Amino acid sequence: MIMKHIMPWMIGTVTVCAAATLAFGANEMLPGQVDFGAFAPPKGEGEFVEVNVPTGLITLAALLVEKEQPDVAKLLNGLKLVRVNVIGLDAENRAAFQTRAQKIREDLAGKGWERIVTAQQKEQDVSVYLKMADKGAVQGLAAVVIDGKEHAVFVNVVGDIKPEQLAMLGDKLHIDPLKEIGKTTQKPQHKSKEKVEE
Amino acid sequence: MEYVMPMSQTGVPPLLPWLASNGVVPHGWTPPGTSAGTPSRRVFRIRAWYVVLALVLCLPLLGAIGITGYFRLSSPTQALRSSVIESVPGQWDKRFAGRVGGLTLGLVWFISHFFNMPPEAEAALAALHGAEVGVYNLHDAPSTLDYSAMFLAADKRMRRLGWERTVGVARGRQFVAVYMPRNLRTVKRMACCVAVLNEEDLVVASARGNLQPLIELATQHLGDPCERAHQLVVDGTPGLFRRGF
Repeated sequence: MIMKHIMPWMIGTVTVCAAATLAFGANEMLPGQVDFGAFAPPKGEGEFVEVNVPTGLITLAALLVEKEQPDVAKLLNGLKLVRVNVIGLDAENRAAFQTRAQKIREDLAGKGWERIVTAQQKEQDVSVYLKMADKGAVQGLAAVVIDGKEHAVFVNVVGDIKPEQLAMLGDKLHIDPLKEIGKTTQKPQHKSKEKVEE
Repeated sequence: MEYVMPMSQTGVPPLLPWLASNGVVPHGWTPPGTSAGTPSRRVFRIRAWYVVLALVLCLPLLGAIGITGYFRLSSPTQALRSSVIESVPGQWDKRFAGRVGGLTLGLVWFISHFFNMPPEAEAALAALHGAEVGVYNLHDAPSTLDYSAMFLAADKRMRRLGWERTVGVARGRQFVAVYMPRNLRTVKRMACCVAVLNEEDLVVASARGNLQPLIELATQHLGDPCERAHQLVVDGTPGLFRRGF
């Protein structure tokens, strides 16, 4: 008799717990992962590129280069996710993306991400951030770029990566924006000077 | 109490009665290879004929299903095609839809052993477990396309089937979406589903297979396998990744 009353409650509790676990699990983010939010393609002829390379594909890329380029394979094996968004800017969305980029920068700074590169030249604004674990290991890298009035670029690499390895990663995964940011990070001093001169 | 099996004079145990008499066992079942025209044997024959008849009748049906299978797309490819088509207003015409499954490719792979084929082709055949492609044409296309709605619809449908978007590109009148299974963990069970809309032509394609033979071949013979793979796969859609900022 008692069981008859208790059973529905037990089933209900278990169902709620399972649903909550699933819901939280689905939103669980890796250390070093950044939630840039969803990006919508611009209306009209604007450009939109989204690349989301999951662990499985990175492992495949590592397998491909394992014998000939073990250092690259080692780098790739240390990564868990690569996400790149390139959004073309036009009169409609330019202001919104500039505001959004600024907000993401502030969020990153507030969440303990270390800003390691700031390059401002003419209308190009590049910021690269690193997320470090307590023991000094790199957990992830994020880059926010506003390229003049043409593009906004958001990059998140989850895993052990150094900024100077970005160009190599972009080269191996054939993602040009990564290569471009990599080049920027390799000569930040020069660009910072230009900012001061301006 | 001790039981002693009766032995013949040659020292060999005698055959069971129904085997020795080449007749019918008391419960009616007739062992194969015996010859007797008893009613119980007729029952067995009738059952066998039923099976043969069913097979004969089913063969054309199975054949028809098999043949139509060559022109039917699998559910992920269908879902991707439908989501794109439903997101773009206009009149869509099917140009072609074809599919080659594991059985056919296995047969081709088996037959290829009788011919002297280059190792690259053999590896490709061994790697590919299935492939399909559909080509569609859009009439009365709208002047601007809502790529956001197209990605949303495709993502929603594909996510339900366990696929995640890996690449999304929209530029001008070009739209590309590449999906891969969410639980992709091994190169032995790779799968990929792609939709490419260029002006008024839509191509949806998918392939699945084991990339291990191709990787082995690539690491043995080709220079930079990543570069080669990129040339083969990405350069097919020129300029998609070759954009700086």
